[in-house]
Amino acid sequence: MGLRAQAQVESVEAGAPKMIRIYVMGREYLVPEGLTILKALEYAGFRLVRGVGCRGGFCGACATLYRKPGEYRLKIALACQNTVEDEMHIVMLPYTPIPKTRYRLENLKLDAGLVFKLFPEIARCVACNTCTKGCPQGLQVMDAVQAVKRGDLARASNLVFDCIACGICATRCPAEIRHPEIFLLVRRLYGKFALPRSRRLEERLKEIAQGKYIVELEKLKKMPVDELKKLYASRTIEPEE
Amino acid sequence: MKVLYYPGCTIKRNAADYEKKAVEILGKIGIEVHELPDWYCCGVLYGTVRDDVAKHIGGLRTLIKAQAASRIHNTTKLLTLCPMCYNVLKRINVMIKTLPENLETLTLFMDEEERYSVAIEVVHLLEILRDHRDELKALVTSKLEEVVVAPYYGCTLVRPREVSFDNAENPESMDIVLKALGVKVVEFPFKTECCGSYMTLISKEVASTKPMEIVEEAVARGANTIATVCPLCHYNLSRALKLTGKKVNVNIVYLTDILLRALGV
Repeated sequence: MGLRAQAQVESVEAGAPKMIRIYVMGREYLVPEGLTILKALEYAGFRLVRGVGCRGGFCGACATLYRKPGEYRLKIALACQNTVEDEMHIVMLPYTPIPKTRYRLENLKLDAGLVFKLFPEIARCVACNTCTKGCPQGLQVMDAVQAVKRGDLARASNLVFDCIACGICATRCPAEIRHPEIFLLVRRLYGKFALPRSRRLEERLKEIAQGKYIVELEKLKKMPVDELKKLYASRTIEPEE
Repeated sequence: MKVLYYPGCTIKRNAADYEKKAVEILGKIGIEVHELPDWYCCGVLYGTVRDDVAKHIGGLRTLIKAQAASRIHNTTKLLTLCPMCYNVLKRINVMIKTLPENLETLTLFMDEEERYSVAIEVVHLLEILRDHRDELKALVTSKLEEVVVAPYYGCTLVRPREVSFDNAENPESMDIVLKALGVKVVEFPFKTECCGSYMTLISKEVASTKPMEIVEEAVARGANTIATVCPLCHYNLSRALKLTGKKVNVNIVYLTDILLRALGV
């Protein structure tokens, strides 16, 4: 009998999960249903040194492209987050070539013109939305680029707060826009030049430097674990908004 | 009366004051301006091509967003201040009728958006002001005796004919509005000569000689003010004036600046 049928029989007999078929860079593999793409690749024998990172949907290393038979839609996933589906044809895209753009933040200001100078390709955006469709975080990527185009760095910054810089948008963009680098700059400019400074943070840093908390810290370091646990359990918790 | 509003990138980046004054004037004649919550770069000169549908995605997507907003605000009029944006959006409306297969291709591609049913009416500020000149006239408090205006239309407002709301060779909307307010207007045959447009980025020489010809002709006709409705025209004429070595007694202003002064603001 065929590979798949064999595996199904064996798995049913063993009480194991159902096996499904995936294609990695064109080659067929049988993997247990329910695994994440990442785990399924490792099950199939791949040892990943790139395209893997935090395994928690946060670092953007494991961007994966896939298609299902009979559909033209090109879909994206984070290998550590999405589970394998039957007949999934995948490839990982762990890196998009974007050499780091050099600038000194202190020499810049909150001005879209400066962003344009460093990344002139922004003007080429045709609002095709391909970047938005490629975002595993579901961000309004195109709207953010358009916001930079019209000088609204605040809007751009807020739209891409949750960007994990996986680079799919930049890879797919017909205008060759370098989204991850641009958004990083925009967020930095916004954070540094537009958002209010944390006054209390500076006060607190001064207090620490002056040694205000040394006695308390030493006390905690010497405290027995049981007492520490009691202290922790009875701490004041701010009410959630 | 309500209108939807499409600012375009240039207004937001380089002509925020023009927008502020335009909205103020429209407010005075009872026109509520509602900026689209989502809008996209029209594509500027690239939006004027006929053979590449990709260049119309931004403009069409904006029209689709306007279509959605039109249901909320119960108006299908979409106001533009920038003549280039006006030109591109209106051309897309025209293209959809003359090349319906383009709409099909774009609709298939933009399948995350609703279908565009060509219901949005793209208008320019000047059209509205011309049509409501009587309401403006009723609010005039100052005659502006010392102002002599050469109304400068530029080219994207009146060319090609299928997008123009006025005579392409001799538009008179601005003349009519200014005269209704009692402002002195001169005959100005260079009123639709190109200011150099985006050539200012490509060939600084062209962008200096053409606008200077326009400015000098206005002055030769007796004007001390050139009124424009386009941020790029404003920029090109002002820049040429600044760079010229000669002393020329003329002010380059937006039409809205003159109107607000006549209205005593």
